[in-house]
Amino acid sequence: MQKERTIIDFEIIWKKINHSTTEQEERLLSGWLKENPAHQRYMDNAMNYFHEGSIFEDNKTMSENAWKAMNIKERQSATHRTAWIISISAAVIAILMAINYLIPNNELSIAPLAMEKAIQIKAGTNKALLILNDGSVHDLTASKSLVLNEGGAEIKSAGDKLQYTRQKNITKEVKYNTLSVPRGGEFFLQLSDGTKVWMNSESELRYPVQFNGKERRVELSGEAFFEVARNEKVPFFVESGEQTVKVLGTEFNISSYKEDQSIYTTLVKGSVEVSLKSMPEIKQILAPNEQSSVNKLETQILKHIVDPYNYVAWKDGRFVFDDQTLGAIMKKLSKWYNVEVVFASDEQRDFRFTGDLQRYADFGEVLKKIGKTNEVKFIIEKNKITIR
Amino acid sequence: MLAEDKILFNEIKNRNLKVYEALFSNYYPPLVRFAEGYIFDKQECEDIVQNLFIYFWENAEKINLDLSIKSYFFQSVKNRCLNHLRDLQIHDRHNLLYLEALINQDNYEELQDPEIIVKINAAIAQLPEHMAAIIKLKYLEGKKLTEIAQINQISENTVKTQLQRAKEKLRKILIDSTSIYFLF
Repeated sequence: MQKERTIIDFEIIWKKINHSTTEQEERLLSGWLKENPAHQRYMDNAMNYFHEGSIFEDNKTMSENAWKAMNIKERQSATHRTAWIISISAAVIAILMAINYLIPNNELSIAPLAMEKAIQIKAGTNKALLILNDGSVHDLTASKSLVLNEGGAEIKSAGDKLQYTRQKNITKEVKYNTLSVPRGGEFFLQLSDGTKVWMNSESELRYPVQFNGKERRVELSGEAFFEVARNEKVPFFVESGEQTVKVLGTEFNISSYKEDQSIYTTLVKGSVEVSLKSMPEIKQILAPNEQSSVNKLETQILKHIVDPYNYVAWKDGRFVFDDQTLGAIMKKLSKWYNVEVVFASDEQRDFRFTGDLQRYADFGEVLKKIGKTNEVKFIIEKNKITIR
Repeated sequence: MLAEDKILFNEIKNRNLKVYEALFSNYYPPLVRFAEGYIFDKQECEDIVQNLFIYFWENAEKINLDLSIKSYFFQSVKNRCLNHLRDLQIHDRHNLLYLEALINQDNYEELQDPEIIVKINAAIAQLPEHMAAIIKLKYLEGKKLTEIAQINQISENTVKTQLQRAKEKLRKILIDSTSIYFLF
């Protein structure tokens, strides 16, 4: 008897990731998944990719490591091999120059330079992009000011904060704006209901210009601290990825970066309810000093007691690390200082540090402090830090 | 075939290790990212590309390069990925994975697949004007971030965020349009 083989189209996997499979497709998919563990692995990897983005980091380390791995492979596979003939002639040099010319950003000459004087990487500043309902983009930087009127609200930007003021004429159509803060930036935002939002680097918030209905709803990616204006009749919701947080009036921090495995919600004051968007029956109520984590691949919400200061200090100009790995620390710092961080080996990633640092200091100062405490060396070239 | 490619390929046949390494360091990252759009598995993607390079080096005499080294590499990785998908019993009827691979590797202008390129251009036309402009500069004209920032008088960071948003939007349009396309 021949073993059954289910063939599926990738479309079904795509639909599964976007929660739009039909019953028939579900059956087909689960049949396929059961046939071979490799199928389940493919499904998991695809989900991970579409939720978290590419697994690969920077090009240079990638090709350097692979080149080493290749040489080992070749030696293993070689039975009889002609000797490498390396002819470094004028012709070859000309060819290499031709490659350089043809392909910009090419990395033929690899010379990591350790230069003390290069330690001049400045901390992030107030900067953001405001994207209006019609898709037009306004650059809000520290030096500019802006006054707009949209969807029944007055919008004012003074370079470091953006403020919405509700006006009397209520419009039917709800207009949405998006505030997008790049790497190396932060911004303060006050919504039309008086809610205050501190936005961290590489974060985006989408919100209605004016809250009209029975609820207030915003969408966050990245990290932000919220001080929600109290209004028990009109609950406030923050959606980020798979998670929904329901709020009455309170202070809390949400960290929901695309590349992170989990979404963290830390409560300072009041009370919030954390639930899963796709399965609202799964929920947890947080009390002050509690933090929830929602793993993007699992359908559960975990709760732990934390010192909220460690998680919200960024908005008051501090970086606080309590026994955290260097890998996690550098990830945060790289967003704020807008630098690329490369670890020469995985060993350093797991070194743990505790500290309370100034967020507005130059990067060099911060690195010096970390460098002092352990055997870690930082090599800085332009905007790239290599740790060995 | 380009004259430069002819010279380079001849050097490969002459077992010039320097040229081999140069080709490797240039093409390895985009090829692995391209494979990632099909396979999503780190080890598998790296294996596919590394095995291709080993094959390329050991069988240079037998290989027939019609177009360019670049299109040979991408076409070969595509074939190897499709073989892998076949083993997993997955079809890609709507080219969803192909589109993902193209977007993920960041530079599709030189790939020789007119049907797909037409679709991508049609999708770009549906983007809001400022997004379309930035996407064209980056992916069709191959401009660097600094150059785009200068042209538009905005910061490099702004260019990055705008590109990211434009890419996400483009992906959605591409996928929607191919599903519709194949419905009829």
